[in-house]
Amino acid sequence: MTHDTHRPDGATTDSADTHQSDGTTTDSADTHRSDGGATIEPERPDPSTDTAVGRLEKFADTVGSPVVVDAAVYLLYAVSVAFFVFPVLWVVSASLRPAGELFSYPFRLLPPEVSLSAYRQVFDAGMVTWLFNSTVVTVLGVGGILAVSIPAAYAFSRFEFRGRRGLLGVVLMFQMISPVIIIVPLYTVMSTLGLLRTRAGLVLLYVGIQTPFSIWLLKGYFDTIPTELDYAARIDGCNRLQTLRYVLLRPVAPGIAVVAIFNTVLTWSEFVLAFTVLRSESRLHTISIGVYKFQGQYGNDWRAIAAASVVGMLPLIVVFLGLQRYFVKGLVEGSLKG
Amino acid sequence: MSRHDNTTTEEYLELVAVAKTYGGTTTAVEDVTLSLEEGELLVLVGPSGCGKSTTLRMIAGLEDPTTGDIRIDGSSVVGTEPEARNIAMVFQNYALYPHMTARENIGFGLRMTTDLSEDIVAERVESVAETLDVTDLLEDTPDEMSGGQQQRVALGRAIVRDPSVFLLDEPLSNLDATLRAQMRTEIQQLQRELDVTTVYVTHDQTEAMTMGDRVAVLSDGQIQQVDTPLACYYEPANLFVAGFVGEPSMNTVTARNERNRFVGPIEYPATTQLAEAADGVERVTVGIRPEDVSVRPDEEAETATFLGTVDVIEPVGERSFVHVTLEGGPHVTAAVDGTPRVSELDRIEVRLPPDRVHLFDAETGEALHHPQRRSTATGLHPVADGE
Repeated sequence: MTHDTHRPDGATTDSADTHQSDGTTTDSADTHRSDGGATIEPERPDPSTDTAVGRLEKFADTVGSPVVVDAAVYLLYAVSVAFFVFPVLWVVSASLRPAGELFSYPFRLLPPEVSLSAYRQVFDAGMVTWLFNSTVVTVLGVGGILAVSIPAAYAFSRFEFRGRRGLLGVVLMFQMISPVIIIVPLYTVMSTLGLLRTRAGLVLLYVGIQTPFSIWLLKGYFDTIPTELDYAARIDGCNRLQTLRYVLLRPVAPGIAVVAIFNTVLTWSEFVLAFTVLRSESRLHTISIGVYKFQGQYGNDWRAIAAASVVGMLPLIVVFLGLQRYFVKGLVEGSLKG
Repeated sequence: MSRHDNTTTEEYLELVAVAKTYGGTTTAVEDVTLSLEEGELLVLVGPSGCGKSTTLRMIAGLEDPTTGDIRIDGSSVVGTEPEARNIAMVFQNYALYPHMTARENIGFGLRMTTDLSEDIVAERVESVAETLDVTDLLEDTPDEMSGGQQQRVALGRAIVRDPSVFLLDEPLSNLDATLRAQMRTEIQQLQRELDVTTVYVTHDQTEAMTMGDRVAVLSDGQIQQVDTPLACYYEPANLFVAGFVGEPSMNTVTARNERNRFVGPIEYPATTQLAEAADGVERVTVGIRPEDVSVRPDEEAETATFLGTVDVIEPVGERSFVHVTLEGGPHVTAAVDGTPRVSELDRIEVRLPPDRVHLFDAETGEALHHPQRRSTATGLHPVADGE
């Protein structure tokens, strides 16, 4: 927020270094924002030079006052939030309009008339099946990812073995490869293994593709837990798996929740792999393919697309609300010094 | 809690030439040989990174020694799981399980290692909680407890399993000074009551001096001296122990041995006794405890008296530490009773009495000579209780 003020004589005063005419530093240079944000240093050119600068200083005082700055910051927040929320509101609004009302002018977010016909349409088209398929694939996929990445992250965090760093690097390298790039060989592999048009094939792909990142993320959480907890558990008679199960799993729960939510969102709405693996097997189609169908079948039926999207969003919101209490930071903190 | 049926005084816990090397290059513990009698409390003391915690972890079975043997009650335990060694350990950060209540924390080991019924587990947890005065905290989780309370619960978790060896890894260093002094006494009392063989690791020499039956001073992965605390203080085996034990550290000056005097930054007159002790050694280190240095600004000069300038005076209550730079360069700290009559930058005479001088071989650091111990007669004696 610190700007150089250009004076009429061409000299530049840095507001941080501005002094009053009596040589003392201005107190207001340390103005703290009421919301605890960064320190604001208002612009204050030296008023002793000429009256124009004096007027400029007065203006700068007004602009730099905490109320104005706060207002500007909140305006910025509002614009940013609107930028992300508006499309969601538009989708909800579009899904509730009667047919033909979508592009009426002038645009109104609250439709004059509410119609559920688009929802009826998507449920008739097979929404329940898509929701069921997405749920199965997501639960198995996220479950698989956690089942592989939790023990792997524990091992990477705790065990000393040859090539540990190298292996971690390789794991990260796999994450760098976008699945879209290798989709052709993946298709061939899936075809050879007979996993095309199966849920198992799709779940395996999700587990394979998402596990590396999840391992890295979870390893970070395991690293924050003091090794003494492992020691204490071993002295109390736990083997490695019991240590993980009884002692470390709970302290690492916030990390597991993050990995679970992250992968749920990703697998729930994933389209490219699902479309490639499931192909025309419509009884296995997931929600993202379902949404896509309204583009294919009816030539961009925006109301149906909007309704399907809204229904598709709801389970994610439920999952997020269910898991968010685990985000409450560090259960582990209590085990360290008081 | 009397688990020791036989009252033999044979070695109960033994470490024989134990060494630990990481990755073939980093040596944490080089050569440690120790033995503890049953019920003994040994303090393992040394600076950070000297290998004391690694030694403790090897005794616990959390790490295996690269070479050497560890025996408990006569049989080697190398390669066995911690659980099988029947040891208990208390950690610096307590390492309480954060999601469990105090009751679950204390009872966890019993649940995992024994098939005792829930009633018996509860009974033993409560009995231990009573001993440690944490009964009111049993339903609290660690984050609801203060550091001192967590410490007690951690002790409870250790003693509930009735261990044959008790290991404490800097258990007091996270506590504030008052609580530390109190817990120090409590741990000592607890150890005596339980009569359990204990290894206590600390870097704090006050703990080392006050707690242990014996002290093992460790540096660079090697045992420097194993002795009673007073012997480590009065007869340090080498320069390291001399510098490490005692607060402030022993003053030392290295000098060339010229038979009747030691010539270095200062020229120190050698008594016959000192000259004999230093015989055949080319360079010696003259050491003297701060409490043996006398600071006499206005008395007549005697032998072994040197001129110097007072740098800093540190009053610490009943005594003060006077830091002096002698002519010729060496710094000397004197511990004097009360508040000294000198002030900073005063020029004073400092006497280093020859009958209080320790002598070391400057090359090897080995001790050559120690003065007599100071008299301990202070009129303090126990009152006869008529038995």
